[in-house]
Amino acid sequence: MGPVVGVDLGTTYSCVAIFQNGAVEIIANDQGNRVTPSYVAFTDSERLVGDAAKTQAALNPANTIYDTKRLIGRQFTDPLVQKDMKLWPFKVVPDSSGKPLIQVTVDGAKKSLTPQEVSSMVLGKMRDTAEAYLGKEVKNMVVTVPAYFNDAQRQATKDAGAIAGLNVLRILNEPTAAAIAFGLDRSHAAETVLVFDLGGGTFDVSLLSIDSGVFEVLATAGDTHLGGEDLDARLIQHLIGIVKKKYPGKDPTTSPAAVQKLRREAERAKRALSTKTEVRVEIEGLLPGVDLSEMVTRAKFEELCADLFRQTLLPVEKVLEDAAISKSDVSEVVLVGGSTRIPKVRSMLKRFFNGKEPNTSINPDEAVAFGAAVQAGVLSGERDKKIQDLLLLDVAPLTLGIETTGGVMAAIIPRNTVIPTSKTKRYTTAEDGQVAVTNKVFEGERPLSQDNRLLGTFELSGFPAMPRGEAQIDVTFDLDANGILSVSAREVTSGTEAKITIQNADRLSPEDVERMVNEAASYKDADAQALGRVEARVRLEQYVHACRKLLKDVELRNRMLEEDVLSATSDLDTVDAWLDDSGDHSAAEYDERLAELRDNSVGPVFERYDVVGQLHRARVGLLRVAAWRTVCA
Amino acid sequence: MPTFYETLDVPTDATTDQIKKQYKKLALKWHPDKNGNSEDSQERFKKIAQAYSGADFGFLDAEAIFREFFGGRDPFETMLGG
Repeated sequence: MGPVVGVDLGTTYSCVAIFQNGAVEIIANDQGNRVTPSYVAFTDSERLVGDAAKTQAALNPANTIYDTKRLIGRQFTDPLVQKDMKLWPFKVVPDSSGKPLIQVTVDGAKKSLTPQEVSSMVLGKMRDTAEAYLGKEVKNMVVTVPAYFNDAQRQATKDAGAIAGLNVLRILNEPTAAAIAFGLDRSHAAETVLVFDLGGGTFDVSLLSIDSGVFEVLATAGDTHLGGEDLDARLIQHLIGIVKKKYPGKDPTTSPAAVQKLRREAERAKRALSTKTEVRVEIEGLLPGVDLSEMVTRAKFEELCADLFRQTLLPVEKVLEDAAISKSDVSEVVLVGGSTRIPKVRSMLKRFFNGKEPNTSINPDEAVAFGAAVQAGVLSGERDKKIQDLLLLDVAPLTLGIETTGGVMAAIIPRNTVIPTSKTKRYTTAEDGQVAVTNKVFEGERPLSQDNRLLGTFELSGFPAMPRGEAQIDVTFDLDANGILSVSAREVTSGTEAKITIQNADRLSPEDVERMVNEAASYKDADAQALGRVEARVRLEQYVHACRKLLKDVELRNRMLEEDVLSATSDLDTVDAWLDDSGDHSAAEYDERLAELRDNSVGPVFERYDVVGQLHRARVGLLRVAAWRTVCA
Repeated sequence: MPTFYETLDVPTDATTDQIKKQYKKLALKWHPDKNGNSEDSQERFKKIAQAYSGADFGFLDAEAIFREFFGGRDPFETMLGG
């Protein structure tokens, strides 16, 4: 089947890895980065994915899409979708069946994309990264999802793979994958491990027993809408409040570009606060005439997020209770996900576990992809002594059942049941002469079905009329190893059958998937061009930035004639203005501008003051800084 | 209908620890991931896991008991509306 890679498809970042020759390798992308932003952007002529898309986010906010993991498998009316939309600079609209669509403008025309399509682009990028490294075609993947993802979210993630032309061999739970990363090389007696996985957008807690290569999930719980981004949002709201107070009548939320800048700075401040106790947030020109410069302390940040931090302990309590295991029986508390770097999260967990230090032995950003790659090795039948005795026994995160008389939810597969599993329950008719039953399938933990999530409805009909209570209807739930449900029903006395895979509004039809596959293929050529263009733009930006840095150098400034300073500044301003106008230019145009600056305007000016040598000496450092600044500008 | 002791292939006086060990051994042998996802392995693994889920908590599968008592029919079977 060729190489099988493991992909951590994250809310904010994604990561790809492969198991080969007895070891896991995390694969760096074309920018040399081991994680890739889960960003997709559309310019007038092309599509950008990953670093290139995130880099230009502030310039092109309405057409830069991220956070699709917070949309996938949800309805437009979902309160969480409605809330998230307020902070997204891109537009989300409902389709005819109530699913969310992301709307972008390409070449002046509106284009609507499903969350599955956007995720497929990120998965495609991860595949390309793997193919470039392996020098082989990659057709198969193990893709991870939060353990607490529901049926629709899992199915939608699988569809995203199909749209990218990939075969998703397994939808693997993120904390389980992380547990493999933790336990693979650990020679230890049987132990009970709690994985605390707080990522960019989702939160999972899984309790596992690890015993000589068998990873048995005992219980899992979580919140599919809690992560670093929610902490960022608190900080953003705080900063918006400060701007409004300082500049009455000014509202950053009216400008998508301003919100984008705030988002970037909030994320950076949050990260800094994991190692420092205070950090200054500075944004010049947030809005016309509005500069932000504000000190944020770690204490303030913790206060802003206090309730969210507290919320993370609830799933911890729940898994311990579900598995009937006491705190003191947990041998390791393993931290996964970037947000577990936050000191408050660590100290809270430590206190909860009566002083036990959380285990930080695995890389919080890469562990999930690492584990996915190992499982990919297992599923591809890789013969390696490290994995031949390795087995994952995972569970269903949510109770699955059907609605019975009075709107009561009858559980068929209780949560934390080992998967794959099938269960059959027998029901009968409620009325005399009834020749059809309608079954409503739900998932969730509440006793009344109306409080749970409706997965779909199916009808079993055509069996002979019988007095009430005579018909014998077997309803079978089959939950596969991906945690995806199919349901069938059979009236036993007549042999009438109805077999359905849950078809509800959240699932794409095979025809939809096929159409999207074709559309996806059409992007391939455009992508190659896009890459060249972005690189050319970055070269030009770096050059301009390096020149500006030089002009700020006091020693040089004192030696330069005022007219030379003015002409160089004015030439740089012209190029900056040209870069800032929202239109896109071809790679050749960027290179032409660069050549013009270097050969005919600022280049010769600097040469006259013998700064070429100076520039060369400073070049490496400057370009690093410049590259960063362009990412953040 | 085999008893859960038969399904898990353990003596009727097996300790919880013995049952746990045996379950993991059987899971490693019969899990579909270890058997190219064959139909046979799926069926076998599901039976093993189901038996164990009852044993794990120190009691037998309640449904199995009902089946034995009521001849295959669940006395609490529920009514479905049309």
